[in-house]
Amino acid sequence: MNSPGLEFKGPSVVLRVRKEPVAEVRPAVTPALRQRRKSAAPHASSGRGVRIFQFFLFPLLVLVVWVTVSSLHLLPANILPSPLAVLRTGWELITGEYGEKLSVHLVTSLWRVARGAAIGVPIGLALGLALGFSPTVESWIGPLFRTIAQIPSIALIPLLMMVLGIDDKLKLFIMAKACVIPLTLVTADGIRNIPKTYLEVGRVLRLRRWTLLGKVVLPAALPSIFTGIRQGVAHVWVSLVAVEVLASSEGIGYLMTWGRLIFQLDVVLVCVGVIGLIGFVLDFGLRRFEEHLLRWKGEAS
Amino acid sequence: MSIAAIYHSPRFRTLVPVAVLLVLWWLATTYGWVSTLVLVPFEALGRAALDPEIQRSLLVGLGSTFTRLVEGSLIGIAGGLVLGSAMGLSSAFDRIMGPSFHAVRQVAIFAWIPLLTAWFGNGDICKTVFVAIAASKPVVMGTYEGFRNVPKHYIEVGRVLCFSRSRMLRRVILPAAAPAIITSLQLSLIFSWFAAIGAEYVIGVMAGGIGSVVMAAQEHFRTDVVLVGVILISSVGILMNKILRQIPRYLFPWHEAA
Repeated sequence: MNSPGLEFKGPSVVLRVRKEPVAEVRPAVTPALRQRRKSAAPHASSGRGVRIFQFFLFPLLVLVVWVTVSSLHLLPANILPSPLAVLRTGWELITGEYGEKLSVHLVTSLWRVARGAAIGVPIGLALGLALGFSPTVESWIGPLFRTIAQIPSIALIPLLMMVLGIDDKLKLFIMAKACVIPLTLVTADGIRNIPKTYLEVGRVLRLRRWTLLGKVVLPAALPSIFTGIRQGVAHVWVSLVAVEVLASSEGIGYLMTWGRLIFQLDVVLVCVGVIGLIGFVLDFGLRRFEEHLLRWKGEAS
Repeated sequence: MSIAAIYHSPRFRTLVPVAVLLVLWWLATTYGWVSTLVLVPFEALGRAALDPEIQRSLLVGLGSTFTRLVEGSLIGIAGGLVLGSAMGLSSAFDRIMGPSFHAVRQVAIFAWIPLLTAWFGNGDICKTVFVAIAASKPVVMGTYEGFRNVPKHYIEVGRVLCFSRSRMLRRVILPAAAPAIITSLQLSLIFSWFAAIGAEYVIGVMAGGIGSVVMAAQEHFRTDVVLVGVILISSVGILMNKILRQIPRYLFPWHEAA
């Protein structure tokens, strides 16, 4: 080993510094060092105003470029509609003046998400509990499940279209599968990672299998179950948008493809915004819900 | 080997559900439980898989998709690395770009397709851009997390030894962040494979990759071709996953041991 510095030799640490004695390794605080320390503590160096400026800098930049391009007519309006046009279309879609009503399509899509999650969550939970809790179940169907789990439902769409047609059944199946996979994997992992001591206490107390499951395994795995549900719902939303863009006659994805077909990109942009917003709200809402339900965890640890 | 040993062997248990499914398939097709539009008999599947015409169109499609995949994911990974490391290393840059990135990230990936087809047409450019977007997302996240989660005491050791900025980066921060970054690259490649396929399904016959071949077969009710295609697509994905998962083991043997 020819690089000097730290060298680990069993439990003791030998610090070797070439040439200079150890005392000189740490010099007095030089201006350069002070600068480096300052940059290590960012909150001290930037005030509130600076941070607000930083927050709005990039969005403002995009907006300025967008406004310039559209007001100078550098691109045709059906390729890049002006921000004002997008806002106006957004408002008209909300009020229904546009012909198509945003809320109707949004409700259709969200109702599908609710049904997809309602099918997927119980299946995923049951599978995850079974795979995590019982080594027998794991040994029989675990490997097959893990292999299938690597194929996202989107890849199976052409096959499923032949089996299920292109109506609601297809969407429900794809959403349910998208939800089951992450939920099962995360739940099973969560159960497998429960501290051994918890299970040993259960065994010492001679708890019955179901009591052990209900009183020890389930509460201990709850945080990972919630993570699984959050991931599952996020996947439900992503896959629903994909199916709706592909084949649908209603829903937010349909509204978007419709706008694309009649070359009204303002409609498409409004839909992109709404889809992002829904994704955010789903994630944020479930996160808050999770924090609320798991408040006891913070106090315990 | 005794019967009990076979019964308990993990390999036997792995194969049983597969065999059960195959037998069910065979029964369903021979006794006509389901229409041949839904599930074709094994002979038809074998015939489709061996048909040179079908093989050729699927393989040409596979090649075209792979070209798009490589182009798109190279662009996406490069962009993701730059953005992710800038956000991870500089907290000022993180405050500038972070909110915008996270806002854009919330948009379900396939929602970009209508916009991209309007801007880039139905051809290869559109697919490449879409794959690049899909590939960049995990890389930005992984790189950012990797740089952010370098253990504090590593940096403290570097500071005690009065490492310069560049030396700290090369000797401390990069090695500590590397496993997370490599994992994100792996995720990104798998993700972009299926994103490329999904894009071809959605954009349709124009796109000319394996996804379009399968979609065209679906429109002509050629279940055998659809099945062969979907099996091929899924196997490529699973195979990629398997190979890519080996890479960190060779690159960071110490990480595994720790």
